[in-house]
Amino acid sequence: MHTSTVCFCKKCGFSKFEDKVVQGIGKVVTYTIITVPPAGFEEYTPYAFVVVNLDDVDQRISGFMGGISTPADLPVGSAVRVYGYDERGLLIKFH
Amino acid sequence: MIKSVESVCVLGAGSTKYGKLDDSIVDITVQASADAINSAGIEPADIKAGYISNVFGIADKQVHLGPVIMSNLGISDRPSLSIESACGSGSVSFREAYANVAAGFYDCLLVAGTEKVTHTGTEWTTTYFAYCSDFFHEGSAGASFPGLFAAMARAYLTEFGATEEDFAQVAVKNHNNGILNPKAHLRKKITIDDVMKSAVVASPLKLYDCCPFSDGASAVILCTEEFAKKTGGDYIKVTGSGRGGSPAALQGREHITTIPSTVIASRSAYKMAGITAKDVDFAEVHDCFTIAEIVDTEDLGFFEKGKGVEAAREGRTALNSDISINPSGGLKSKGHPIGATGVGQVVEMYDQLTGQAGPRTVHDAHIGLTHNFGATGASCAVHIFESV
Repeated sequence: MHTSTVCFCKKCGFSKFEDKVVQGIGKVVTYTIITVPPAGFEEYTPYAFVVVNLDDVDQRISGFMGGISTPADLPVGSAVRVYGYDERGLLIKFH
Repeated sequence: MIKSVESVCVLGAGSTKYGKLDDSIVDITVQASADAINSAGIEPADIKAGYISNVFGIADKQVHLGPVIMSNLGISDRPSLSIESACGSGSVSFREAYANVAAGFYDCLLVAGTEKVTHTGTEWTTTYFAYCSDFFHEGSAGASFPGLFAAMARAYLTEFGATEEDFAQVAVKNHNNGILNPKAHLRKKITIDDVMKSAVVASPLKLYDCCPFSDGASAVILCTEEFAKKTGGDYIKVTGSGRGGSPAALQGREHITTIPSTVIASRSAYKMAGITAKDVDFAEVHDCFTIAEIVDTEDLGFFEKGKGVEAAREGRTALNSDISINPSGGLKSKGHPIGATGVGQVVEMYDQLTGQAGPRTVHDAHIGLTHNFGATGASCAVHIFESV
């Protein structure tokens, strides 16, 4: 899947992009643990919504991380990786 | 012939109470509009066009609000439009209305903002609001709006060593102001302890860190100074208007703890008004969550980055302190009917700068600022107002 939806480069406006396979491994930049979920996420609550800085490319991604119930479970800077995609968006777990 | 005008003014203002309202979205919008018309001392026929801001009209079975409101005001022949820019709809609509008066298209306009959502319940309101995020990246992965601001809060706690109690200061202060506002949704004194013990919504934000879901409508009359003078009514001047944008998703921002659109919009508004942040006597800022007010007061230039939390802790943003932030009670206490909020902030400017704010009056205030954004600040408008 593509993790970016832009059509033009924000720095130079260039519009020809090449596909690049990324490892999907990175560090947690910030996150929250959701206890009052939007519709469709009730059965997964609590869970974390995380923003991740990818290691091998200058890009961040956001995704769903299950099994997180207190801040002690997920220090900022934790190493994580993408392991799938479903109705919960990008699925992320500890690397 | 169209001729640009020098000064654009707010001549009248009106609001419903914010909270859980029984009347329909059309009824509340018409009530606020009629109040603004009466406050201005004009007739509906003086209004040349209507700018209506709203996000979830569909939840109360009414979109295309413009012509419906104009018809109910007895001026169905006047043009109107509806503007949606998430929680920033009101200020974005105000800006477009401002530009049209300044350009000379109309000498008198109605700007009305409205929202009616509480009847849909917490889960569906949470779900609808999540549609305002960059859904592909955020809402689809389970991010609620409190969740996105909680992610900003987590980053702020990590970067600046603030505490959750510091954030709670904002809620306590805004409730203190809201108690003095008869139109406010949550008129209740709260303590730091109340905030800390309230249920966690999206860690580290708790229920009392969050503004409520509110219904409500606000309206103002915007006109040329020439028109205002002819009516003989009280008016204030719009001296600065700025807009800005940010990457729609948090992940696209270089710094998670700053909202670029606020910085861009405010600097543009300051430049136009010929002032700096230091000249602002009071401000209505977008405090949808306690962390938002901290970030806003830094991005607007009132405090250095990372110091907003210290200012809140020291009470420097309380009513009639260094700078009165959210004398109305803000979104946190006055409430947040999202399509109305940006217009409601202008109502507070009008009340404060024409001496009609009662016990929440900011003393010796001449310059006020409104700051209102959509989503996590993806869209933003800042306006500067001065008394005459």
